[in-house]
Parts: sequence; structure tokens; C-alpha cells
Amino acid sequence: MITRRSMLAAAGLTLLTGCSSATKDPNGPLKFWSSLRGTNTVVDAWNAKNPNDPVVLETVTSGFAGGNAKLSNAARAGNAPDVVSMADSDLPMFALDGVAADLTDLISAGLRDDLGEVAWSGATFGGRVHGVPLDLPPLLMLYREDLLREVPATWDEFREAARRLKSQGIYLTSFHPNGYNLFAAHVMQTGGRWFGVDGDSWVVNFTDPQSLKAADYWQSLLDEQLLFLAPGSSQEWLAALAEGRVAAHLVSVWGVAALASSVPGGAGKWRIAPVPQWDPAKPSIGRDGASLHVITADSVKKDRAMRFIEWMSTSPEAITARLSSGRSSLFPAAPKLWEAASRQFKTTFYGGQDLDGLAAEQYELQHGGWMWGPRMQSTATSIHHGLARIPYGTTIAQALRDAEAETLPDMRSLGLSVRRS
Amino acid sequence: MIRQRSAIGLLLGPFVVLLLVVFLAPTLYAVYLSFFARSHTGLGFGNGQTAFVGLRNYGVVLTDPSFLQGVGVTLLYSAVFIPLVIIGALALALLFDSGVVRFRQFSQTLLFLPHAVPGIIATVIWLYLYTPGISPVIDLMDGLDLHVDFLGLEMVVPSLVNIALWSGLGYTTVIFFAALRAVPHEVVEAAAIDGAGPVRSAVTIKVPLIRGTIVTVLIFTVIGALQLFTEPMLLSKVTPLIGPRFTPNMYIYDAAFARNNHSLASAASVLLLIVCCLLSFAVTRGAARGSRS
Repeated sequence: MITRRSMLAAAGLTLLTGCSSATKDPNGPLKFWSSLRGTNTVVDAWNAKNPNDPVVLETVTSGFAGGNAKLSNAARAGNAPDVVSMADSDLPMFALDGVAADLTDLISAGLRDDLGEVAWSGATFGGRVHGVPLDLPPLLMLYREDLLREVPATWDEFREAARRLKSQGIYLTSFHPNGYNLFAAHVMQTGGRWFGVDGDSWVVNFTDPQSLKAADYWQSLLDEQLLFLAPGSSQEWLAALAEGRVAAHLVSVWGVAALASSVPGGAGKWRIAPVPQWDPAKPSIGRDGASLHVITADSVKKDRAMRFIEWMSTSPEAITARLSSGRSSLFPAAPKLWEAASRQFKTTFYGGQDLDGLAAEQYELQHGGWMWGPRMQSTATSIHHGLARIPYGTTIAQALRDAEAETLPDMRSLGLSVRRS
Repeated sequence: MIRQRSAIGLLLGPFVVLLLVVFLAPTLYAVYLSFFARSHTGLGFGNGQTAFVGLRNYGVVLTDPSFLQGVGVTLLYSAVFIPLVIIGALALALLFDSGVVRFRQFSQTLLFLPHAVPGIIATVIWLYLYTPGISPVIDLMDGLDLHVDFLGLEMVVPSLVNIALWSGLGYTTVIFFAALRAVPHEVVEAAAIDGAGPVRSAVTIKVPLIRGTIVTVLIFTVIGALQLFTEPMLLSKVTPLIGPRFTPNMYIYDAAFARNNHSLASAASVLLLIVCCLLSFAVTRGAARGSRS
């Protein structure tokens, strides 16, 4: 019964995704799947400049919303595109499954130097590079200047500010039960590591002391009812932002443009600030999602694909084209593009504040060493499942423990060598 | 003789072919997949290959807390749903049979109608009725100062049982009613002459006489409950309290399509198939022993 049902579903999915044209012609156009804002203007700019090496863009839904499944199925059916945009958290899975090609030997010395060490660390597993970083966006605090008068510099000050605002009936910020990536950014800041590598083995620990430090802090804010508890992107939350019931939104640089389009009525009232620190003398910052480009293993146009990817990651024309769409606030991983980015991105929504100077400063505070797991979408769903029970008494730490317990069997089933630190 | 043989072949042929193609072949393929998996070593990058992995996937399924929780949820659901649907349907069928109910055919059709609605549509209907803000039922209950969160943690299983009862009760009732119609009139009449009232003749005469039907329905209901999928799958899209591995069947779907692990999905499928077979065997066996004594 079961097998019959799943076989039928598999057949159906293959049929749905199996309708793309031949990608096996080495002289055909490059096929490119992306869910990133502003990619269409980037591709237009490339095609205008390279009429003999055209790129065909298909806009797809983001990874968790279906893009990952679409790519897995296409790769299995043998008709994956040549180039795909991907969130860093999904890269280990596609690298492990043999969908994302090993690019180590295709990467030029120039490209390697243009992107920082930290950026490459998120694309390198066991010494082999599987993706080319596009952005490396530090977490920022977007806030309503009219509600939050003083920007808290430390997390202790942040708690005090939350208490003061709460007494006026305003939440300082929100907690998203569907936002594992934002919480992961807090863990990166404290220096926690959920996944790591020791020799030839994975090391897993979702509740190391640093992760628990972040978990306990946010739990205590929740216990004091200082946070607006609502799913990210939900109507409920957007309404609270629009009505000024929530004063701040923590998000990486890419979210700067997204907020402006989500709450257009707030134009001019919002400002950008660094995220509070645990110890201002030893500053550190995390990020909630970076993007990369990968070449699929079956692609027969890897050299051309790499030329296009390198151009997207390191050419001022590419970043100018992306930001000219007005829908993207992508902060390039290549520092040499920051000037072009700051010339193009308009911060009228934020009172004309200088975004790129601030982002550049915070960029330097990021550190390597963070690694995502090999089945991150499942792990994230497990975390979300736990966080959804917060109103029923589950704690953040418990959600992390449960998610870890549900992640380890997956890794063992793949035959990976894995231990708990 | 030869004509008889070819008749057997002709009549059984379609069944055997279908059994082979849509049941046995996929089952054997699933067994194969569960033992021969895409396997890695060490960190796993760049060394994936299909290999014989023995019972590894079975070990993983049986030690995965999310699978065991799914089993727990299914047991809880079964413990609530199965008695309700069997006893409820039996009681309704006996009522129809006793002639107490007026407009019998009309009431029966009304009761049966939900079964004509596909499970996925039924869930969408109930989803609408369960969602605060758009549900007229919740509005009405709020008016009476009754506040129930149908998608809250404690209400998830009762809400699912409710959907399943709504769809399944009428169908089961009709099966029981048909069986009751076949009970010989003279037996019931004799009981009445001997002084048995309607309740007594229902419990001691009619129910034992349709025991075979009850057992068959029980097997189907148990297997149906073990394969709970559509309703919670749809509800999981609106409430994160129902995770993607809420029931064993959902675990299988999640393993195959969210975790890209077809071997793990196959191992869990084979385990579920074995449990279904064992349970069917136990129920039939138990019933056979009961009827002998």
C-alpha cells in the first residue's frame, strides 16, 4: 500500500519536473535557476553583454518552499539546470548527494582572493569547494527611530529597552517560531556550533554551552513576555510592524529591502543599527542566511557556468544590475564590490542612512567555523516543530535537544560517521 | 477440463496481474531498496555509492524518536477512533434495522453522504471549520463563551478523529446494516416470542450473527488507522504542532521527499507492512477462536 503510494507520488513528481528541455548540448544556453530577488536584471545585463553565451533564467521558489525538492528531483531525472542559487544551509545536502559539483579545480586564484576566507569556509567541506559565495550578510537591527530612542549596545541593555517599551505596550522585537535561521545567527554570535568536523567525522551538538547561552537569553525574554511571538512573514507579524506594536526587526542585510516592501507605510521612520553585543570589547556577529551559486554535477558546461558565476560574485556590473531592480539589498561577499553597491542601493526608507558603511563594519566581525548539517531542511522543520510548542511550555533548549535527536538518525542512515561532542 | 482451466486463467488473470504489478513488485522493490542504499563513509562528501547496508535502515527507523512518536500518535488515535466508529456504526445500524428510525432511507443517505467526499476535500472543509477567525462554528461557540482551539496541542488528535468519524461512520453503518438485513427473520421473531426486547435481541441475537462482518470491518479500520496520512498531512500545512513526521505514513513520505532518503522510507514502509499483516492475522485469528468457543 505504502510503497505503491510513494511510487506513484515519485512518478508524479518526476513527470512534473521532467518537462525541461535538453541540457546536454554543450553549446546550448546556460540554464539557471534562482529564487533571489533581482536576479532577472542580473541575467539581462549578462545577456546584453554576452550575446554569444546566453543564460536562460527560470525563477523558482526558495529552497524550503519547494526549490530544494524541485532540484533534487530534476537531478535524479537527469535534467537539472547548469547553475543554481542556493542558501548556504542547503549546500551540504546537495554536495553530499552529488548534485552540487566539486568546483575546487575550477576556481581561479583571482576569484579565491576576491571573496574572504569566512565566505569560502561556508562552501568548503573536507577541503573541497562546492559553491561560490555571493553574499555574506551580517545580522543587523532595523528599528523604528520614533519608538526606540536609544539603540542598545549590549544584550543586557536590549533587555532593559524591551522592559521599558513593554511598559508602554510595545514589543521591542519578535520571536519567530518558524525562524530557526535567525536563532542560528544568535548562536553564531555566541560562538556555538551545531555541526562541526573532527578529522573524518561529523560532530553534532545543538546544546553546547554557547548555544544554551543564546537559548536561555531568548527564553528569559519570552518568559518575561517581552517578545511578540508570531511566525515570520505572517500577516499577524506584518500588521504588528505596520502598526508600530513591534519596534525592531533583526535580519541580515538582505532583509533591509524586504522590510521596505513589506511595510511601505513606515518609510522614513525606520533606521538601521548594529545588533547588540555580549561583550563590546570582543565583538562578534552572525548571519541568518547567505547565498551561493553551485554548478550541478551533470552539467556539460561547467567552464562557461563558472565564468557566469564568477561574474555575478565579483563584477560591479552584476551587483549594480541586481540592486537596480530596487527589490534587493544583497550585500556582496566580495569587499571590492561594496563601493558599487553603496552607490546603487537607495536607503530612503531608512532616512537616507548609510547602509553599506555599517554593513562593511559588521562584515568584519563575522567568523568562520559555522557549518550546516547534511539535511538542514529537516533539522529546521524539527526545530520549528519544537518552537511551535513554546505556548505549551516547551523551551528553546528543549526544541534544540529534540531537533538534534531527530537529526542524528538521518545522518546515521546515510552511513556518515557522526558523534556527539 | 481445458475449458475450465482457461476459464480459471481468464477470471483470475486480471487480479493476479494487478496484484503482481501494483503490490508485489513494489513491495519487493521496497525490500530491495531498504537493504541496498546510497551510502557514504566519513564526512560523506564525494563518496556516495549504492551499497548493501544490511539492517542499518531498520535500526535507524526503530531508534528514531520521531518515528516512535508517530507510532504513539497512531496508537492514541486508534484507541479513540476504532471503538468510536465500530460501536457507533453498530448502534446506528441496529437502530435502522429495528425500524425505530423514520425516513430510514433518507437518513441513511444523509449519513453515507460524507463518505462520497474525498478525504482531502473533507479535511479542507474541516480545516475551514477549525480555523479561528473564519470558522462560523468557532464564532458561534465564542458567542456561547465556549473557547476551543481545535488546532491546539491537546485538540489535534480529537480533531483528526472527528474528521475520520464524519467520513467513515456512515459507510461503516451501511456495511453493518446490510449484514443485519441478512439475519434470518425467523430467528429474530423467535427471540421476540421468547420475550426478548429490542435491546436484548440486538445484543444477544443480531450482533453475534454478524460477527464475521464486524471482524472484517475491524481489520479494515485498524489498517486504515495505521495508515493515517491525508488528514494530518493537510493539517500539518496549517499548524506546525503537527510535524511532517506526525504518523508513520507521514514519516515515510518525509523520509522519501524531504530527506531524499528512499532507503529509509522503504525500511519504514516494510516495517509498517509487516505490522499491518501481523495485526490482520491477529484479529482474524482472535475472531476465529472466539467464534469456535
